[in-house]
Amino acid sequence: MEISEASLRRMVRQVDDLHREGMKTVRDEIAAVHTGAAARVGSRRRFLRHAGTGLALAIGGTVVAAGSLATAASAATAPPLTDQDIAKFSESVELAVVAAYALALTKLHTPAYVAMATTFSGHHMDHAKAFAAFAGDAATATANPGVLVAVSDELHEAPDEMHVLSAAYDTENAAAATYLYAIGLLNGVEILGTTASILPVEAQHATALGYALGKDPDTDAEYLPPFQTTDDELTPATYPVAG
Amino acid sequence: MDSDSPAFLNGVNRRRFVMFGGVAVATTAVISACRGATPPVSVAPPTTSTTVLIGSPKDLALLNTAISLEILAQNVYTQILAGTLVTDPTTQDLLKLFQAQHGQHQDELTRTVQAAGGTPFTKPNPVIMAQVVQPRLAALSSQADVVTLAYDLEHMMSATCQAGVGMFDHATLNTLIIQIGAIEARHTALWSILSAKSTTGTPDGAFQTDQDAVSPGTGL
Repeated sequence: MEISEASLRRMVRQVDDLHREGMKTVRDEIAAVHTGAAARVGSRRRFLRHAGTGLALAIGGTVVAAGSLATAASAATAPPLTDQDIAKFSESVELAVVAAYALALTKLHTPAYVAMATTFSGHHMDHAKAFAAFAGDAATATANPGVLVAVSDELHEAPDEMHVLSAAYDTENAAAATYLYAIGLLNGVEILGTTASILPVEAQHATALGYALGKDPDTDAEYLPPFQTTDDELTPATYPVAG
Repeated sequence: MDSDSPAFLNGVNRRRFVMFGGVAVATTAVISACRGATPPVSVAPPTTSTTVLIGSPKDLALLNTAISLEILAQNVYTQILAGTLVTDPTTQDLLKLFQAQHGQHQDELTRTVQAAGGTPFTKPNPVIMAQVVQPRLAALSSQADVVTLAYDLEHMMSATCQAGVGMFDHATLNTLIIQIGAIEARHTALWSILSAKSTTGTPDGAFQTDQDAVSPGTGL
């Protein structure tokens, strides 16, 4: 499957249109709340391995308790997450992705890829604002340190544009998985609706990036799966919010 | 739309509009019983399944509407693949892949309805097929038309799934429906890449569920 800059640009505009239409609804809902590379350049599994390392770098000694091996135990003893907790966490994830795209943009030069990264970054900033509104006083306006370091590691190591796009692809898929996880926990109708309007956008970002990477569904089962899963979800236990 | 929406009234023949490809299509949507005097039924599956769901009429209507659209999509793709308009191998492969995935979605939704004690819908949504899709199928004259139709179809399905989130009485079904909706969104993204249609604006606002989604019970 070949890709042209024209098709990429068209696709980015399409996703952007979808996103902006959705954000109209999101803004209304928030207002209501306030008034009331392809297979050739790695896989998500690789990203996750780096993510563990990144977390260790990010928060030092606390990683031992927050690391993946401790996640189950932590979850067993932690109080249930509230909608506000999830909103706060989601805001931090979105801001980490925004920061990651800023770094990615320093390594991208093909105009279509730059346009894509710029557009998607804008989406994530809007998502962060939406979640911040739901988080209310708990919002931190701070990028999630574990997610940020994990993705940054990938990007710093990326030797070329394809690897940069691959890191972005992994991140978008992780975000989509995260919101599926969140929808399983959320209770409020408004935040459920907003999250359900964001998840498809992350999935579309991932698909667009996968297309740009030349991924083939015949050889990469993660590219166009039959069902969205929580594989590679990011959780507050594994990626604590700063502060 | 909440559970007090007119679309949830019993047995109402209601003229309404379905957004499809940016066009409001008037349909005589037969809204089945989505909310009635029948209390929710707690059903243990008859065999060894570990799944126990509370199958409210509203939940079953939401699930069966989704099933009807999954069957519709398979039907549409079958018709397209049987024709001669699509010659590009990439497009053919995507049609086949997405058709298969819609079959998987149908199977999963069907199992869920059965586990909830309901009767799964087994036909393409008759209202959407007859009044919305069939005219478009009849008018197809190029591969580009096919891609645009596929885009509109997937877009509508994704919006329908999204609209279901938060509406289920049984909250775990929120997860199931968006697991499927996210995949329809991925399909949509790929059709948009292959589509030559204007991108100056979203024809039917994918995230504005009241405008894009097929109302629960339509055509059942």
